[in-house]
This record gives sequence, structure tokens and C-alpha cells, in this order.
Amino acid sequence: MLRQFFGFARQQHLILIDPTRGLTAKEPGGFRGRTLTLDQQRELFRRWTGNDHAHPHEALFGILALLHGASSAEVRMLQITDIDPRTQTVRLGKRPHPVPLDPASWTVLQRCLAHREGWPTDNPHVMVAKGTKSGRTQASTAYLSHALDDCGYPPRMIRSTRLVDRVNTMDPKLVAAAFGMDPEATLIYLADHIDPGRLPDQQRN
Amino acid sequence: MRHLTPAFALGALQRGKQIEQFLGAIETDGRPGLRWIALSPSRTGVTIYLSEVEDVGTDTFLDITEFPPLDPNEETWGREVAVLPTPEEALHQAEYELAADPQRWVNDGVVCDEYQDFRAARRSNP
Repeated sequence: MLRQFFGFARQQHLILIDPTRGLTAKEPGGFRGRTLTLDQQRELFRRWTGNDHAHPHEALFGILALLHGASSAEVRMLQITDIDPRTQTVRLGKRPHPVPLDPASWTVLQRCLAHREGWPTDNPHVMVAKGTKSGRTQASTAYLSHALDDCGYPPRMIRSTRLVDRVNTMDPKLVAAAFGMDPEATLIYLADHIDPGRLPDQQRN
Repeated sequence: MRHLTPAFALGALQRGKQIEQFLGAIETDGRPGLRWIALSPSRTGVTIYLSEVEDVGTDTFLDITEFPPLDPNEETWGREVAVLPTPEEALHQAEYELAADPQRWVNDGVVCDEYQDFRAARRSNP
């Protein structure tokens, strides 16, 4: 707005120098993306854990993003040896501790492994696509980028929903430690958030 | 040696490995940001992904894949620019259309180290 005003003034020869020239307007950094409503989360949870015939890869990627904040890279890199059936945990990416899976996520993982067993492959990754079944590389970014197409919600939106929720209800440092993220990365998801108790009208109640 | 020679970059793509390149600082609508690209081979060809993110890095926070995108709806892997049938064509397109440097390709995940060098260079030569 200011830039437009001074641009106009300069054009009309009302001023000699546009004081906004060369200035950059730095908006506050932080998360500005969309998140899922509770109903949308329920709908997706039912889709991936019910008998909705969602592809096992879609269900695994989706449930790990929705419930565990997993990134596409973490899901792509997940190998068979990262799974501990005894403790029902998986090692995800650079997370410092194994992630305990809830019964729903564990069932989705088992379904994905059953799907994988139908393909004779030496590829060590959990998610094996047609293009990677004869090799040992992880599924491509291109493959994962379309894995959630059928559910109708983009992966970042699903993962961000969990991160925004966790960061705003827990200590961001704890979230960073649990999710193997840099503490400063979790602070991005605190943007524009004010604890309700700090608002004046809330304090009066 | 962090950077792949052109032959190694091509070889990586032919083996199904993703390669990346940090392209430096940008400014979109007066907002400073960073740009990098990734070439990801798959069964359907080689996809070029362009990422443009806010520069929120610090000396200890260098993982640009976690930086918020300038377009809030953009995915973590960036925007799909093109899908080319062969690695050679993908490299050519990236270098021709996006000004990628043939000598500065790096392996998957190394682009954060490139950003670290960029920060150091910017500090010593603001």
C-alpha cells in the first residue's frame, strides 16, 4: 500500500524520491498453510483404517502423516529392518527414538507389508513401487507425491495438521525431540498462535 | 568433493537416485526467499521440482526442507515444473530453464549443506 502511494506520488512529480524504493516488506515468517478440520481428520482416519479399499501405500503414508507427523521422506526411507514387531515400533527418519504405533497405525502397516509380500523383491523398503521392486532404492518423490491423490487432501496439509496441533498444545521442544525435528522448525508452527489464557477476555473469566 | 560432475549427476539419475541443486536467494513480491530444485527419476520419467521457501534459517537451523514455502499450499518437495522422459533432457531443461549450474548438482539431502555455505558466503560478503 505504502509502495503504491509513494509510486503514485513519484509519478505525479509530487516527490523527487520514492522513499520505499529498495525496501523489502518482510512478513512474519511462519506456517500459513491449511490444516484439516476434526471432521476431515475423522473421515480420513476411517478411510485408512476401515475397509474403504484405499491403496495400502496411501493408507500407510496417510496414517503416519496424520497421527505421527511423518514426512514423505520418512515414509519413503522406512525399511523392513526399521520395524520392531515385538514392541510394535518403527524407526522413522532421524527421530532419536523408535515411534510406538497405535493399534490402528500398526494394522495399516501390516496391510502394507502384506501387499508388499505379493511382490517378489529384495528391496529393503516398506513402500516398494513398480519402478523400484527390481532394485534397492526407495520409492521416488514423484511416486509419493501422488500417493494421497485419491484421498483428496495434500500431504503437507495432513502432516501440518498434526504438527500444528502438537506444537500448540505441547512444548515445541518436546515435539522437536519426539519428531526428530530441529527445535526452530517446530517454532514455525507456532506462528499467529496465542495461548487462550493470555487473552484479556479469557483472563477475566 | 560434494558436487557431482555432470557425468556423475547423469549416472545418479540413471540409477534412480534423486539429485538437487541450491539456486540461491530470490525475492517474490518483496519477500526474501530461497530457491532450489530437485530432479527425481521415476518409472514415468524425471520430474523437476522447484522449491521456493522463506529464508528462516539460523546458524543452527539449516534444514531448508522444513522452511515454510512462500506459497503456503506448496508441498515439501516443491512445485512440479516438468516431467521429462530421459535424465539427459531433465538436466538440459533444468540448466536451460532454471539456470541450474551443471557443476553444482549434489546428491539427495545435501542441499542443506549448500545452504550453509550460502549463509557463510553471504555473511563474509553481505
